[in-house]
Formats: sequence, C-alpha cells, structure tokens
Amino acid sequence: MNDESAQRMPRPDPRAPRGRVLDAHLHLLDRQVLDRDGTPVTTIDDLELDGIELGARIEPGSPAPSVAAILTGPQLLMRIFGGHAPAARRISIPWKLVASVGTTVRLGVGADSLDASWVERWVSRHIIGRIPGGRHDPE
Amino acid sequence: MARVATSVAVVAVVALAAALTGCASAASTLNDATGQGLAAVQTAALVVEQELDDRTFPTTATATLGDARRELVAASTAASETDVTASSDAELREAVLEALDEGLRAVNDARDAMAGLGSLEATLPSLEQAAEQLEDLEAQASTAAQTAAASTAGAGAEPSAGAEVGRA
Amino acid sequence: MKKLFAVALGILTAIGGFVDIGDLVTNAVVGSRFGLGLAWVVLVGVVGICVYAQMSGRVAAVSGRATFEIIRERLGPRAGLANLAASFLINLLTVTAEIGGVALALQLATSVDPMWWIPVAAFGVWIVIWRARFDLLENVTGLLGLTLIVFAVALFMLSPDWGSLADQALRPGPPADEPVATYWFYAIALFGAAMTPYEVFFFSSGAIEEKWTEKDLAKSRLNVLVGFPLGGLLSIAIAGCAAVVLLPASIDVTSLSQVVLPVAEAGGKVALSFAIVGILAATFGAALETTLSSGYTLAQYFGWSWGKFRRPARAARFHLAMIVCILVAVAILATGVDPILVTEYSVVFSAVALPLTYLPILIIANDREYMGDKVNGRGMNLVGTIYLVIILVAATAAIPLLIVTGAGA
Repeated sequence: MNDESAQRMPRPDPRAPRGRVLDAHLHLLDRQVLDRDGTPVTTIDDLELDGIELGARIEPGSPAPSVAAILTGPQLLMRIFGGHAPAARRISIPWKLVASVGTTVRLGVGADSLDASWVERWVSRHIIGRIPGGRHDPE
Repeated sequence: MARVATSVAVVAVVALAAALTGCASAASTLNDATGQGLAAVQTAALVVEQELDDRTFPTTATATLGDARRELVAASTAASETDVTASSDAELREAVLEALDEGLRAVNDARDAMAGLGSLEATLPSLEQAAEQLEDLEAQASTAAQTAAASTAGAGAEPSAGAEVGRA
Repeated sequence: MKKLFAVALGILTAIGGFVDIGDLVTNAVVGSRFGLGLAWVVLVGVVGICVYAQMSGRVAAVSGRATFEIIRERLGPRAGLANLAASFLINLLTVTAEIGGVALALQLATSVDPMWWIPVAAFGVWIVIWRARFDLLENVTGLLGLTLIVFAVALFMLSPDWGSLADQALRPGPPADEPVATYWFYAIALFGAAMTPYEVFFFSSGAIEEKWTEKDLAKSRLNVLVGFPLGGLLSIAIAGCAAVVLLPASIDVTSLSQVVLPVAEAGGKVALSFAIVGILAATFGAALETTLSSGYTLAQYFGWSWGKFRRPARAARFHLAMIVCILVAVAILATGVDPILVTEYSVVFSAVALPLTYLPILIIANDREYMGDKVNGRGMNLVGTIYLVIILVAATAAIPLLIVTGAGA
C-alpha cells in the first residue's frame, strides 16, 4: 500500500480512505519529526491508529486505519522490549499538526508548543540555560 | 574413522593446551619482564644522552624518566611474582630481579640528577651497564622459554600417541 | 584567491585532523616492534576511510540527513539501538583516550603529573564545544596539528638506511622474533586506528553543521582525497621514526614520551617543541571531534535537536549528553588507568565496531529515496563492498587475537 500502487489502482471501493495512503513502516516509523522552523522535535517512536481494535483480528477488506497521533518517549522502549503503556502515560503529537510527510515529517507548529518536547524544555531551562553562555550564539 | 577423528581432536586440544601453558611458562614470563625492563633502561639512557646534549627539554626528560621508572617497577613486580618449578628458573629469576633493580636505581639517580641532586653524566655508565645485563638475560630467558615450550609440547604429544597405539 | 585559500585550508585541516592519539600511539608501537612491516595496513586503511568518509559526506549533503538518523530509519529501533550502544561506548572510550592524550602531552611540556592536567584538558574541551564556532574549532586544531609534519622531517634528518626501510615496507610479514598472531593483532589495531568510526559520524554531521549542498561536494572530495592520504603518510613517518631510533635499541613503545624520543634525537629542542604542539593539537582536536560525535549519535538516534550552529539552550539534551560524556571520561581517567592502555583498547574495539558504521552507509548511499540519482556508481560500490569484506574479517578476528596475544604483549 505505498504511494505508487495507490496511484495506479483505481479506487472504486467506497470504504477507501480519503487521505493519503502511507506504509506506516516504510514512511513513518523511525522518521525524524521537525517543527515549523526545521528544529528536530523527536523521532516517530510509534503511532496511534484509529479504526482498529488492539488485538482484534483484521478482516480482509476492512477499511484501512488512519493515523491519529505520533507517539514518542517511553513508547520506544515498548516497541523494542514489548508491552504497552497506559494511554495516560503516552506522549503524543496529534496527527492534525502534521504539515507534510517526506524523508522527514514536518509539523505546522513550533516545537515549544508541544507536550512532546517537555524534556528538552526542562533540560534547557533548568540545566543548560543556567550555565553561563548557554543562551548565546557560539563565537 | 571416528577413532582417527577423536585422536586428532585429542592431539589438537593437547597441543593447544601446551601452547597456552607454554606461553605462561616461568621462563617466558621472565623473558617478557626482561624485555620490558630493557626497553625502559634504554629509553632512560637515550633521554639522558639527549639531555646532556641539550637536545630535549628538562621537563620532557623528567617525564620520560618517570615513565621509565614506572615500567621498571612493573617489570620487577611481574618478575618477582613468577612461580618457578626448576632451580634453573629460580636462578634466572634472581638474576633478572637483580638486573632490574640495578636499572631502577640508575633511573632513580638520573631523576634525582634532573632535580639537581648529583651528576647526570655519572648515571649514564650505570644505565648502560644495566642495559647490557638485561640484554644478556633476555637472550638467556628467551632460550629457556623456547626449550620449555618445546618440552611441554613433546610431553603433551607422547601420551596421546601412546593411547592411539594402545587402542589400535 | 579566497577560493584557493579555502581549498588549501580544507586540505590542511584534513591532514592535521587525520592523526589522533590512536594513530600516534599505534604507529609508534608498531614501528618500534615491526619497523615498517605494517606500513601497508596504513595504506589500506587510508583508502578505506577516504571511500567511506566521502560517501557519508555525500549522503549528508544530498539528503540533508546525518548518518545516525538514517541508520535508525533503515535498521529499525532494535538493531539501531544495538548499533548506537556499541558505537557510543567505543566513542566514549576514544574520548577518554584523547583527553588522556592531551594530559600526557601537557606532561611532556611541563613534567607536571598528568593527573593534574586531566581536569584542565576536560574543561578546555568542554568550553570550546560550548562557545566556539564549528569552523573555528575545526580549522585551528587542524592547522596546529600540521606541526606533526616534524615527524616526517625528523625521519629525513635521521638519514636512515632507506634501502632497509623500503625492504621492511615491501616485504610484509612477521619478523622472526615475533609470533604471527601478534603481527596480525597489530595489523588490526592499526586498521582500526586509521578507520575509526567517529571520523565518519563527525564528517557527516559536520557536513550538516556547515550546511553543505551538492555544490560543496567537489570541495569535500578534494579535502578527503588529498588530506587523508597525506595524513596517512604522516602516520607512516611516525612509525618510520620509531623504526629507525627505537627498534635497534629494543625499546618497545609503552608511553607517549617514547613517541617523541626520535624527534628530539633528530632535531633537538626545536623539533621537539613542534612535536609537542602537534600532539597537543591533534589530541585536543580529536577530543573535540569524539565528544561531538557522542552527542551527534545520541541526538540523531532519539531525534533530539542538535548542532553547534544552534545556541546550547536550543540543543539542550545534545549539550547535556556531551557534558556527561566528558565527566565520565574524567572519572575513568581518575582511576589512574594508563591513557595509552585505553588508547590501545579503543583502536581494537573500533575495529570490532567498524561494520556497524560502514554497512549502513553503503546501503543508504544506494537508496534512491534519499539519494535521488546521486546513488553510488558501480565502481564505488565495488570498492565499498571489497572494503566491507576486509572490515568484516578484521572485526571478527579482532577479539580472538586480542585474547590469544594477551593484547599484543
């Protein structure tokens, strides 16, 4: 279900998704996420999908799920070592903030407005910003 | 067929064991220690000569002599911790320790001279003498190590050959 | 005129930047034990680093993505993490060795115990990373590192028997008094020293720091193809000096002070001061590069904001990671471990980790999604694949040889 095949095949099926069709593995997972200004925010550690139940069997021909959010932080460990975190613990970036998908995923907002960048902000404010010179351009 | 394979394996394992123990024989440990000590004494002699010719900085010479001393102490420790089983090895160990000690004393004298205590020139002959002794001992230890390795390998091979004959 | 200057500067920094504590120590050790009998390994290593540094620079310039970002995208999180762990630990070992090398070089200049210099060296590395611009730190250390050419000058001043040196170089093989395994152990150490993986991380991340485009590729190719081979010649000169002065005196090199003995022998105090400045600059420059590389690899795997072109507060985790690395290196050195020993292990383990870095680069350089029509040509792939085989053989043999030879004792 990559871009090319989506273009070549006609889509008579009314259940076909209206958005762009992406191979989550090939085009999204582990991609770099950049904010509006091109500052790296995170890597896509996992995805939250709408339209499928976790653990339920997927019938052939059922409509493709759509991406609801980009997950990050502890989700990486879940993907590597297994298990899953309660929804409240997840750090997510809603998919509606995504502006474009290429070799990187671009957001339409600044990094500082996101929950996903709280660690960066905390380290910056409490450690790096407090060391003399930390807020100046290098010379 | 299987028996041949087994005996080949036995010989291989014994040869490997012999090679490994051969590496750690007393003579070869002493050989390594002498080589280490010789390198340190030669380094000290070279840097003392350079200092006398005003070709190096006193700071560099002092640092070099400090490194040489550390190596000599390490070589002495290795030599004195060598377990011996033959009286010839024990004699060798004594001689090596004595030569290393002489080298260490000469290097210490040179370091003292760098700090202004005594003449640096006077340390050169004793460094050269220690180097000569260590060179002789290294040759001696090297021959002893080779003989030891050869005899271990021979002793290891004999019983397995005997076993093979017995089974046949 | 300005353009010519830029080209010259690039080449000169590549020469000065090629040599680090690993090259210095390993070449001197090898020269004092095998003469020039392992010079061929340096040549093989130099060609390899040219091929792969150039390839990773091209990937970075064309795709705008640094090596470790793509390693994770292509290998997935699990293999990527394993790769990160190995690369990062070896890099940390190299940071430790380089900071120790700076302290040892300062000891040669002052005779003050290196233990006192370690915190000074570490602080110096940090403050430069914290405050100096990327091109500044690269150019200054690279240019000062050029004074290592004194090793080549010293080799000529010693007026050695060139015939016998050539004979050693052209008839490789273990000498009679050294075991075959030891010879190959040092061959792998030398190979690891020449091809250290951090140079590739640094090169590809540096291309992004300096905002390279495809237009800059020709310049970078020239820097690498001229600068690295000349750096390799410098390495061989270090081995040659040791072969001429130390080998006949049966001095096996175990300390940095012995590395400079031949230079003082040949050229006295003037030459010696050049050598000490050169070693200081080379180790300090490499300490900067390796510290930055540990930050780069971590930040690129986890997708953090990174780069010297941002102010530290805008790349906070990147800077914090580097501070922690420097502190860990100081803690390791504070145990009193001999920095030379750390160096020797770091080059061998670098050899072990080589495939982890070089295989993904070769794969990505052939990926049209990233590279468009700038993928590897057939010739480049052939050379790259040949090197991958050599790298795999060296990596597999490294640990067994380390054990059998007792780390080359």
